Amino acid sequence: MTPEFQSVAALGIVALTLLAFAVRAWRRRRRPAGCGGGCACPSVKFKRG
Amino acid sequence: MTLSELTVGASAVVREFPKSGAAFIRLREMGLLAGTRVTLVRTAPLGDPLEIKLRGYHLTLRKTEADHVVIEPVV
Amino acid sequence: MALPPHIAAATPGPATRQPTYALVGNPNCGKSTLFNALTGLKQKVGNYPGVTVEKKVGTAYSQHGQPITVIDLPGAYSLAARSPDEAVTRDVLLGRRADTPQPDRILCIVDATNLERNLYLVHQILDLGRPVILVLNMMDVAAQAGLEIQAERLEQELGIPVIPCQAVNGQGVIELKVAMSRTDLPLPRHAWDVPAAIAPAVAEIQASLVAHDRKLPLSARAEALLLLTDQDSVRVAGSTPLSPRTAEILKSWQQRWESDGTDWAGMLVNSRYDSIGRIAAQVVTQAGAGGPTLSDKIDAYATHPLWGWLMLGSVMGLLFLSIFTLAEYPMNLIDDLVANLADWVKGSMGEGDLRDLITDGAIAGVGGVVIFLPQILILFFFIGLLESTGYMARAAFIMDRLMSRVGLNGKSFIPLLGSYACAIPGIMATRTIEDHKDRIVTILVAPLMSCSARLPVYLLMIAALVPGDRVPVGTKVGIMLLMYTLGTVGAFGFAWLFKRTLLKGAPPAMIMELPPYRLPGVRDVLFQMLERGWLFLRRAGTVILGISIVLWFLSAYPKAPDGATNQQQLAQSFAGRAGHALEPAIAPLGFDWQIGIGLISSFAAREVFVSTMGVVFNAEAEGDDTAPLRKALLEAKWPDGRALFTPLVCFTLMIFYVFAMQCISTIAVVRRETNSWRWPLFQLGYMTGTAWILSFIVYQGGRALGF
Repeated sequence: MTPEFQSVAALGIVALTLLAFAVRAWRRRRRPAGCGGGCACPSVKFKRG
Repeated sequence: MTLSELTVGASAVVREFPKSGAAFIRLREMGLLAGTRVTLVRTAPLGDPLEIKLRGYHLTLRKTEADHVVIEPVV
Repeated sequence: MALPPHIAAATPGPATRQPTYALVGNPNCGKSTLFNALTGLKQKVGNYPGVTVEKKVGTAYSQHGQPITVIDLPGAYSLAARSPDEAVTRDVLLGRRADTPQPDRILCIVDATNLERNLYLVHQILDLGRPVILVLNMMDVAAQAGLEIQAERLEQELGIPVIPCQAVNGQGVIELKVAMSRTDLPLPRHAWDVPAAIAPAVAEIQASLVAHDRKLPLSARAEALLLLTDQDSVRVAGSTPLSPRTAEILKSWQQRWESDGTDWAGMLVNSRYDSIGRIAAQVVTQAGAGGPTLSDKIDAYATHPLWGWLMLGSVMGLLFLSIFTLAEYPMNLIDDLVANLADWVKGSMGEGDLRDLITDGAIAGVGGVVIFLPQILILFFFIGLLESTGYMARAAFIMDRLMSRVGLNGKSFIPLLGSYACAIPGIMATRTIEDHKDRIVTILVAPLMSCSARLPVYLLMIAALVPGDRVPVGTKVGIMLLMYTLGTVGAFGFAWLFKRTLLKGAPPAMIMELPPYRLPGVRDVLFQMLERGWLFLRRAGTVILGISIVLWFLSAYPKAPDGATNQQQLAQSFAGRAGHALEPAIAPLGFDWQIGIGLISSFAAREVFVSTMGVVFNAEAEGDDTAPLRKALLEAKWPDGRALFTPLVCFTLMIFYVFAMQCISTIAVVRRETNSWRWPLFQLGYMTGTAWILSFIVYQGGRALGF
């Protein structure tokens, strides 16, 4: 792996992380009563009982 | 006389009880009602809260609440 | 299928849906033990959306291997809820929650040694008109106390199956499973007299619940009765509120009664207890008065004015000792593992950003938080042990008077104590505090207790403050103790302030059961500890991993020209620029931009300050040996040649760390626990503000005095 390739990969991971945080925040906003898929959240299967 | 004036180890029967207040409703639900027999088991090391025994179990409450519970000592 | 029509209508039938039981009972009656005995490890732990009440669902298997779903509802004394926990129990049972279907059947567990009070909740539940199974737990303890309980008689009185049981050693669990797999569970047939003055109101509210809230008739009657005892009830997010029409009817009745002096809630409670008293009189026989029990004898010491304090002090001491000594070995182990992992990645990958991201970002960041896992596990093990033996209630009993001085009650004691290890488990432990305002105040001040992540910072600063080994150990310990005291005094001071201003409320009551001492259920305690540990690890693997990656990016970009040292790179990076931008704000405290970078990086975990200082001053600390770093710190200078880390600056920096809120993980937990951004942001503001002001006073005052 060349340093250039590593830089591209690292930046990609950073971008993905930021995207994941954005998605989390957006999901939380859309469903304020829920806990937005954070940890300790019941899964979908769980909710159907 | 009120529950907070009872001496440690003495028993009494509850006579009157405040009607409202969340704490008093909960105390009733815990079984402290007019006619219930209670024993003052001890006070906490610093004098408050109190530990009472009623219906076979032990319960704590503060003096501020016990002040409002009117009792009649049992000899 | 012999279920009554209203239940059959609510459930699609056994062929399409496995039966669901809700497990309900008072706190301290062995509910978790029974739940673990029924479901084994087949459990799923989560949260009820919007509230931080634990939701536990497990699967039990009948004698024929049929799965049965069991929902473990939080312990409650009454359905007239006084805490978020009880509110969830009430709302699930009444079908008020969209996230949890109303359970078909209910499993009530009671402590046989204390039948009357335990039956109060059962009595409310029987009104719901669902099939109920009653479990008489701790029959052995009851027998020892000279109580004889006729289960068959109770069965006849209530019209439901009654199963004697000892959940601790699994006795009666098989019989219970047999009863649970019955498809022909009878409906309760107990009758009790609703006071005549209240009956018309019950009927009217019931009718309105059916008409306007779409409730089933029987459950509506139960809810109507409940609404009348449930004044200013606790509401939780995610539960359906009452329809306006029903609320109006309820209000008009309450106003009428208030004006004519009817004690409606009291009358309802009284008639329930009358009915329970009649049942208990027929079922329970007390053989002999019974002398003082073992619990009484222990309590004579445990709550004694002298021995009680000594015992509490020793228990606390032991807790601390184990958190700081016992945890040391696994913590070193994790530290080594993390370091080895980083070395291995360094060795097997070529130089580059991806490698740095993995080692300096992901591994260092997650490792820095996971290292606290042993302390968290030990803390939860102790909390579980203290809870399951019954000593926790005594600690709260003893401490209540002191806590009430600042407007809190004894239940805040353990969460605050736990925050010395780490604020996160401390804040999670506040769930046992019923009063909402008390709970918020406890959460707000918990991070002021010096957590163990501050320890490395204190150690480094003390080493720089009193260099060399000439100073007696006492001085170093003294400074350390001073920091812990400052944090503790700060926590109580702010609790006092908040209870008087922001979160003003009536002094909370301290109505708490003192359960008899019991041998700890080690299995249950271990189980709960592992559960918490797993939740913590999951956090570290998701949110904290993400934050670490972002922080790495901020210190690695934009790139310095080729051939730059780590130090130059950091100065050039976003983090370095942020440090520079921060300098005007922190210069009055004697801190320069390099310390600013350390302050910013502390948000990942406070001890990251130490490693950041290592990078900033280009002196990697070798393991626990901070000597090279200490030397580098002492050589650091302002551009004009003044020494940067003067003793006064070291001391000021410690003061800053005592009070400042610099922990993203804590902020995230507070957000989750309070379900809003308001409190974590307020906390960030008031703590960091206090830290700044106090540091300013100390630094400027110290300079004026010539230090």
